[in-house]
Amino acid sequence: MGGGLVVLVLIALQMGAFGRLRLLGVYPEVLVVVACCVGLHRGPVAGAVFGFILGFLMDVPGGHLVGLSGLGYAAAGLFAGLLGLRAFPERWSVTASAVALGTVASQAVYAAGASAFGFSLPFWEAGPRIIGALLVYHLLLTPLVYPLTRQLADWLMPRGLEA
Amino acid sequence: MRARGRAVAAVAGLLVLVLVAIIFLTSRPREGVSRLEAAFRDGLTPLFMTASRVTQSVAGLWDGAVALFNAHDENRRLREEVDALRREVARLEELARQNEALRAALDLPPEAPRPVIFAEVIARPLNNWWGVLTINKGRRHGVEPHMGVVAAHGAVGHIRSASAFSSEVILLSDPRSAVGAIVQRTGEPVLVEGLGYPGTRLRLRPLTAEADIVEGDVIVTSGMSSIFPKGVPVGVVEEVAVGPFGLSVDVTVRPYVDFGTLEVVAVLGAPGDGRAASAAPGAADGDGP
Repeated sequence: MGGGLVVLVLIALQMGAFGRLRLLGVYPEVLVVVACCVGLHRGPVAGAVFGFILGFLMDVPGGHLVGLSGLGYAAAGLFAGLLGLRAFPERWSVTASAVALGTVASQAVYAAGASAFGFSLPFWEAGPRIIGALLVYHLLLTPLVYPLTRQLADWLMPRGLEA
Repeated sequence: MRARGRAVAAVAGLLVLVLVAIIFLTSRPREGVSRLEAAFRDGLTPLFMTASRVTQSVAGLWDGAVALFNAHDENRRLREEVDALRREVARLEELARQNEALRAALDLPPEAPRPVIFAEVIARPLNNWWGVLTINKGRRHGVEPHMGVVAAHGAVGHIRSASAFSSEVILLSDPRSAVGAIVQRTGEPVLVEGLGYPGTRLRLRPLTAEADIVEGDVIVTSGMSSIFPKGVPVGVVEEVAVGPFGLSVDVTVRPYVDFGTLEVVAVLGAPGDGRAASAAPGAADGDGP
């Protein structure tokens, strides 16, 4: 119950609040940062599962390509978690690298998935600009999101989900 | 142990199949959204509105503080702008009077007024690849799919889907958007398409081979579809690039509306639609679920 409410609040924050805070022409996808941080704290499986749930539910209100963001966010949580297994996640450089890797993975998976379903997004024309701006934005948000996600993960995630 | 592994693999495979099916089904053009999607969106509407208003207030405080530094210059500039706009309104009123007289002389029917539904933007794109907005008015307020959406400066987009208390707007910048328009100077028909990424520029496709389009041309809606009436400002031609041997023309349009800062929009009802009654912004703010 508490977990569901947190997820809904996160989605509302992403779409209602962060959707107004443009930087360098893009909106932050703060839930990608959350998925990456969960992956770092609790392992790749937990990161992928939490990322998938967040992304899937984010897609539902829009009703377009429902589930594709789930795949993108799951990839972000998975890759960040895999990096966290191989390096000490408390180091800033590791956290930043994991968020950067997750950001690139989520955008690439989304664009590739959309293309597979008949929507050729201009990935090569716009991708570098979108991803570049998102990287800057997400790295600025990481110092805020990382400690909050640790508390959230401790509260929500049963230890059995850890990889 | 092996049997358990097989069962896990089978369940995972089934889930992947279900996910692919859901993505496929929701990738097709649909009239509206399912009940589940509508219920989820309507359920989230109060949360969206709360988050949106808190952010708006905080951003407003910051903007207010910044604006105080420039208040004097801004005041003088706005007074000059008001004077210019008063003169423009007087000129347009005269033109409207002449237009009505000419229509009457030619025995043309008067243009039916469109009802307008004002709505607040409560949520933004879920990612940066699509240009969509969620507004706090839905079917209960008379909003239906394919209605046009405008803001103070010009065309914004159209309604893609409407649930009871909220609707999704496809912006002109979305790659799924294509709007029939004309070049105001020449009356030539063109198509304005979304580029599909943030940059707030639109692509213009001339519909005739000999189209005369130059930088600075104003683009307005053609009124050929039921979405927009004729003459709603879309944007201004920013760049005209002629391809090799003059075989193609690549035209970029800068829209009048900044889609990233929209707070309030107006949904244009169908002409003569009594359900879409005019309402002031926020008049039905308490109508949410």
